[in-house]
Amino acid sequence: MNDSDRKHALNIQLRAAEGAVLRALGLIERRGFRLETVHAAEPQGDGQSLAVTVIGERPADLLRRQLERLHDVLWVELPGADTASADWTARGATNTPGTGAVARSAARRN
Amino acid sequence: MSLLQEEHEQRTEATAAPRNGSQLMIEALKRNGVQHIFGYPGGAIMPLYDALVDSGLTHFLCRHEQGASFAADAYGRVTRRPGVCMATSGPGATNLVTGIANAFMDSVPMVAITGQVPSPLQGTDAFQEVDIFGITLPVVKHSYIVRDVAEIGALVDEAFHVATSGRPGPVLIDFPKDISVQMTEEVRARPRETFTAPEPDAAAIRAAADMLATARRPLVIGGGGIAISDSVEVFRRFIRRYQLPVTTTLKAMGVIPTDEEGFLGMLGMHGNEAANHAVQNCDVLMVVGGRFDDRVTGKLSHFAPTARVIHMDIDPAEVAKLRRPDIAIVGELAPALEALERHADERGAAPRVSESWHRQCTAWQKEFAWRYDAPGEGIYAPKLLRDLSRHSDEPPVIACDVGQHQMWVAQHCRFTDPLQHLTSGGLGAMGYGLPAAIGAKVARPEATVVAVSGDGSFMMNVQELATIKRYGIDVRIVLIDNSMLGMVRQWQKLFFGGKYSEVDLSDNPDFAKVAEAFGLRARTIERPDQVAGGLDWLLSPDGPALLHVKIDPEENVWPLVPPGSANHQMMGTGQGKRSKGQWEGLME
Ligand SMILES: Cc1ncc(C[n+]2csc(CCOP(=O)(O)OP(=O)(O)O)c2C)c(N)n1
Repeated sequence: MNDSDRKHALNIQLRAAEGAVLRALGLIERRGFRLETVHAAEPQGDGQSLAVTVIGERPADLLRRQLERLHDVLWVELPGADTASADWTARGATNTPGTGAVARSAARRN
Repeated sequence: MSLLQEEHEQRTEATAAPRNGSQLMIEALKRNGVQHIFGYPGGAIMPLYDALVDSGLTHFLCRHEQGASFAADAYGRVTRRPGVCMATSGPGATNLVTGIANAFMDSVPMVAITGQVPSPLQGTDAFQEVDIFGITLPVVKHSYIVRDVAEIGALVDEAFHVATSGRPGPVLIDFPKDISVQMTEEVRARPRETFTAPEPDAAAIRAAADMLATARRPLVIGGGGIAISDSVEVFRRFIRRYQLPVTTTLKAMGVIPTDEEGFLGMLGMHGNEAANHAVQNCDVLMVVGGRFDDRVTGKLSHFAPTARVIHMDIDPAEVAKLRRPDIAIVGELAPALEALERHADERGAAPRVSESWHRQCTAWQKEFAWRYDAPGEGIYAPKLLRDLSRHSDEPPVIACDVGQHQMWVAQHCRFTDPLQHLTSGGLGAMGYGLPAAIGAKVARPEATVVAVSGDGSFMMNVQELATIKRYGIDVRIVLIDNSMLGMVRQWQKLFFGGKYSEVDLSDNPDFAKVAEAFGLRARTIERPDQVAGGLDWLLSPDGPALLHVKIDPEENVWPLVPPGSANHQMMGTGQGKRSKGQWEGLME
């Protein structure tokens, strides 16, 4: 790990669709994070959850929003997230919900 | 419930006459408003081509799948509806990839359909099997492999919705051959959500309005999102009402008519210095539908160093990706701009431009206005391109290739609408221009469409001359021939000690003869006194033609922010004055 690297845990709720897991994992690596652990739960109905830990120096909140842009990603939680990580939100200047202690967003992807 | 959803529910109940997967696909395309398709047939997609016959859809046989994908991209830009391209499995599919990536980078709605080997053969390295779904994962907005014939209608509806909603992008549908011939009477719906853009956040609007009202040196950057979201009129009203200094990215040229008084030109690597100075000195920077591309910002840590930033975009994932804004407004651009205006009205706190900032911007504009009194014997391409775009009252649609000529188009052509400028911005894909012109002309038959290409780029999709000829697509071509891969040569000259490596194209074919062989009119010019006549000839009502323009191989694009530099550190500064000696001095 470099000094600027941080470890983050993410819970990713997916649509149980062909390619959904690959898309999410591929995006994480492409957007500048290393995958450390991956746990895919058994699909429940139309959904499947994926728990990952990742390492990288970029903001985890940005990764969350990039993941949520995927059509097959329903929402992403950042259980350990630090509220201050997105200071542009602190000014009441966002409508991306869920940058709180548990960052969970229902924001629709684009 | 959306219209489409209702339709589905009805269709789920009714069992229709038996049809095969390909017929269902064609039907679904038509239901989604498709009229034109660009493509190329082959084994795995033959059933779909079979269903195409007498379907009422018009198919354009491009001569390379890449051409089809670029044509579909341009069609999508111009119509704001997905351009549709299709190809067979394997090599046909891989040939589409560049066009799909191009649409992804520039947020263009597209639906790409690929044939696939029959499901039982998938994963066996069957003839012409490639995992196009896997290959394209990082460059699609979404993708599907059709697994259930009864779902085809719903899947295609969803694909069109995904491609066009929010931030648009390409959607791939991989269509296995067995499914494309499977018969069914059943029509099944899919669970369906519709994208709704977030409402602009009231607190963010208030904060942004206040920030603009207390600004002294505000600047607005118009980005590609303005045209994509059809917000041009609202954007213009906002800018004009408050007389805000404004610059645009490459993709947004035309959101403000380029002739308009307060318009500072394009910013960034090859931007106008007035725009780059303004951005480096402003105190409030409002970015509307832009994404802080590195070609726009130069050295990011030095970009707009004195500015507080307001960032408006539909895509939450663009916020704080590169530059952390002070205020982010996520949502549709037009309602957000209108909300800002309303708020300013109610509070009597309009965006402010100080007298001195206004004067400063005007002074920069004057100082760095382009000049065309070029020394040298040859044709000065920037002037020719400027004249091209002023040939009629209504500027033509220009589809560009990639390189020096592309930057000259952005710098010197006149645009009164962003859809007049089709350029491969994010991907920078040589070979885009000619097929893009085809797609644009098919979408807008009434418009004058000109492809501006370079001698390198032109050869990347030269085969599309045959498409132009076959369908009588009235595209005009200006080929700026410097016998070089000019942009690469310029960089080798500037940043690699002038050691030229694989940029010489002095053995180019005779381009006029090439065009004539394909059945187009063609003419070559090489002296400034031939330009006016050449343009008249090119734009005369006599159908597709190529004007081959020979220019000095050592011509450069100025000004230039060298890689890794801040935007105010431009080389070739004062290029408007174009004293050749001064520029060449810079390069040693
Ligand atoms: C498909 C592709 N390959 C390579 C490049 C790299 N590249 C950028 S500009 C350029 C030269 C373009 O030459 P030409 O089309 O003659 O235009 P000019 O710069 O001379 O105006 C090259 C090779 C690219 N952008 N796209």
